[in-house]
Amino acid sequence: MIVAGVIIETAPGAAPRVAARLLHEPGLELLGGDGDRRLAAMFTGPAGGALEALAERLVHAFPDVIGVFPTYVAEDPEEAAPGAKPARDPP
Amino acid sequence: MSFTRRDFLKASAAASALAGLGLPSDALAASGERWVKSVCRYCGTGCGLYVGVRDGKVFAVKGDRDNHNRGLLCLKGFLLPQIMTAPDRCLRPLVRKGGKLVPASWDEAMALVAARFKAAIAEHGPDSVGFYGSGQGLTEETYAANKLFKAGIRTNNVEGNPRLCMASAVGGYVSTYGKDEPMGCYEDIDHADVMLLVGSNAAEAHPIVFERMARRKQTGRDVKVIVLDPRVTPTSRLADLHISFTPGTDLAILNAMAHVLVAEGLVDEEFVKAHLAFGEGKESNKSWADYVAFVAGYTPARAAEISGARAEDIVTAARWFGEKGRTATSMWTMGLNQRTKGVWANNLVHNLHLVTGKIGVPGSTPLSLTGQPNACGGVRDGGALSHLLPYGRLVANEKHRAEMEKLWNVPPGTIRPENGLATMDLFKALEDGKLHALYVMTTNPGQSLPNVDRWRKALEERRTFLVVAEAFHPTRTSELADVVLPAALWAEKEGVYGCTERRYQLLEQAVKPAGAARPDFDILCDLARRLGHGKLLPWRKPADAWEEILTLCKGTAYDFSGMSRAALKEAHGLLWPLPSPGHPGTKRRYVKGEDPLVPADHPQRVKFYGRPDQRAVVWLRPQQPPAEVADAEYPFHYTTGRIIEHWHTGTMTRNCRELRDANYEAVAELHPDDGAKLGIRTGDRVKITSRRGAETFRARLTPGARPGLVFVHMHDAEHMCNRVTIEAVDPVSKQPEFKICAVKVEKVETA
Amino acid sequence: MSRSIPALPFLSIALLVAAAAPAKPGRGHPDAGPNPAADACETCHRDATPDVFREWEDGQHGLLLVKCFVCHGSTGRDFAKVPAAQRCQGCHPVQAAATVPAKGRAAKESARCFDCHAPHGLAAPGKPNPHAK
Repeated sequence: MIVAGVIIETAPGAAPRVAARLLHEPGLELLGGDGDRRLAAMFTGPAGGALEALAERLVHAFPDVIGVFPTYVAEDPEEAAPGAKPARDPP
Repeated sequence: MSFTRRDFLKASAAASALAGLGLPSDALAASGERWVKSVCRYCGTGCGLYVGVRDGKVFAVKGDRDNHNRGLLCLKGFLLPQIMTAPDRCLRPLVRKGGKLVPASWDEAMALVAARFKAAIAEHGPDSVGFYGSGQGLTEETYAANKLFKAGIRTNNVEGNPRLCMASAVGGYVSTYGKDEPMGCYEDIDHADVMLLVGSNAAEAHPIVFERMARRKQTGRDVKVIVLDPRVTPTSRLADLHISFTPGTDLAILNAMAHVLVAEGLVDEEFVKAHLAFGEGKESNKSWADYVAFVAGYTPARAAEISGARAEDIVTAARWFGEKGRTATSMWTMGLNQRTKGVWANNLVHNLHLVTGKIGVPGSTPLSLTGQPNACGGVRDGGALSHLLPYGRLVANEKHRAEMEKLWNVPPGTIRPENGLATMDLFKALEDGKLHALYVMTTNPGQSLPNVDRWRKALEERRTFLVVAEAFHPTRTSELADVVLPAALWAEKEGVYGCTERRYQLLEQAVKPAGAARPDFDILCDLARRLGHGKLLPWRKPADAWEEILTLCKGTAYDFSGMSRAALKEAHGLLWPLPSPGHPGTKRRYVKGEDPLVPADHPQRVKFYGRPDQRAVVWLRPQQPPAEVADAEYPFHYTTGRIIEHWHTGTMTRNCRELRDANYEAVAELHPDDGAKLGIRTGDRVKITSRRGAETFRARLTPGARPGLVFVHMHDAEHMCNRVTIEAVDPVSKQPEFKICAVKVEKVETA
Repeated sequence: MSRSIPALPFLSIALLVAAAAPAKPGRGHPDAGPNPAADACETCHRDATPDVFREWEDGQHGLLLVKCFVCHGSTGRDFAKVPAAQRCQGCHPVQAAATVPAKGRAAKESARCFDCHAPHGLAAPGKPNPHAK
């Protein structure tokens, strides 16, 4: 699966309402924003194009979203269904 | 317990996305959350923080990691959100009718206040009214009151609780250097080889300053900490040397330390020659030889005899402090200030730094720790005391009065040439029926004045119209008021606070005032208009007043005229002097290359420009006893102070869930030996009686207590430590001796 | 190393016994004893849980008086055995932000801090530092 940090750029002032609508976007976890035109989020999803698909979807579905810019992308070869707990040793 | 690869990737992804926002991570907001830059409401450490707002309410705070406190907060600051929604917030104006305080409209309340003030002024003159403000008021609020009363009403009866707190420190700085306020800053702690703490329980009263000391001690090389305190407190945990002594005898110890410095050649003779003058009483007409002869009499043995400390400890302390090539920073608070010899005690600490030249270099400075968050910025610097005018000017100085009249655009002669009444004199005038109206703002004298029952009795006689502007009701003062005006609290208003290290910082408003509360600034502007002085307070918001304040400090030793509101908004505190826009501020005053008020071509590294002779004064101050010492009838010394869980009279902290059950009740801390002698155990009730009054407390036997000394904290409204304290004051600073009086201790009930 | 319990009046001994008793169901911690305002956590816990108390007292939080209730809240219903991450975050915003996402999952978040940091001494010796600068 891939793990990516992304910046979601919005129209000025639109970040809070875009954030509200993204609260339930699958695989997307909001981390914060500047309260104005940028949101920071973490995306986890299956490898092979899921990140690009997310970017396309957000830009087309939300008129206020200007762009989705990954700041970090990494591949974790351990396959796991979205929402499954990562393997951890007991404390 | 492992940090898996998946975790690592997620953390990296998150961190990079957050970094991509280009904001400090503390300022982030998930949808609907805002973080507003501000400052802690409590002590003079002045920790920066962000107030978290959600749905128009304060829900959290976070330390500001870009400020001097590096993101840290003490437990009180951490729990601040709860004070905003406290059940005893005062939410509407109250007016006394038929002996009871009943809700009223703002208009009715303010009309009454204005009418009663006008009547008093008309019948008995301007000096029949007064203002008693606070080191917790914002600078703009205090300024508004100062201007209204001194230039509008034309009385100099403007006082504030810093009179009870910092006046002796002010007296010490002014008599020694010619100007108030420390010359060093917190950063000096980071470079101190030796830290001398006298009369300070910083671990509890200035926790984040203490944290900085602890960090220095833990990471520095051979850092030595000396603590002078009759009690062993949590601060002593950091000490390499703790010196206990009979309360009030620290003057002898400080003089004896100076004796050792002189005797062992630890003085800096060049510095002495170049920068020092010597004085006694009020005249700086002595010489170095006089000083040497004076301290010759304070041998460590004599000081040990006087104080009960060990001579060898005094010698060790002096040697550590004086060791050549090592830096030394002193810090002190109420243990030295709240004394009838408070100014003298302050002078003696300055002396140690002056004769060794350990001043004005990183790590060497005498740094007075300020008790309240804005005693410096609002009251001391702003000149809101009965003998002061803004920014180093004096009421008694004709030139200064003329300057202020010009700056305030009022006719010459507007400002009265005589000092007003200092706090205890103000309340004495109230007692004598000479004060007909008093406006009290952001302070609780009905609990915090020394010998408090005397003043409560005077207030209860109702000859003085008492207005109390407060965020909480009832307090031990608002319960006595004729009018209670609900004041906005902390995050509900904006303004500037100035803390210990000359750091001015902007508190931005985060939420709307609760109920019908209004910011004190608005209330004072309203009152000014009703009294016919609207032209003097024409501002719509505090930022407008700040513009005016900048014009007043220009050209003075405080010059912060470069500290625009915008600069304060952007910065995480700025240290004055800061005389031009873009200037970075000043870490060390009087030092060439750091202080913009020292010319770049000055021949020496230091210029004490506060005095006409450009010298600092070493004052010859003998050991003299407190106003009241233990004797056969009252064999214990009694002292008061603070604990970490609570702030001052507890009106705010007792509303925090975690703190209500944490040491809120004031108990009498006694040494176990005294407990044994008197048959008292922890939990028993004891009556503490002085010549003035008595109070009953539960006892707690405390191994760190000093035999013969009982300690009670000041935060409990139900068990008021000040029913016992003495109102004797330092003759120069007029600050009362909260720290020492004589009592007897008797068991009244077994637990 | 055990600490001798000082001779205390009966009432205080009852307090100790009450503190050592198991918590009532539905409550995290017994309410403080008959004189809550005059006592503090350490009144009981110095003797009731001496190892934990000493660990805290000897660590940095003990020196700097970050007292029990800062992390654990007050007694009764307000008590939290495992502190929420917000408790750490208030003073350590940088470290908390670097390892903990902003949306609430309290227990899991604070489990992260305590993955490395011993609960009361709070040092994390020998652990790699995961905190972004």
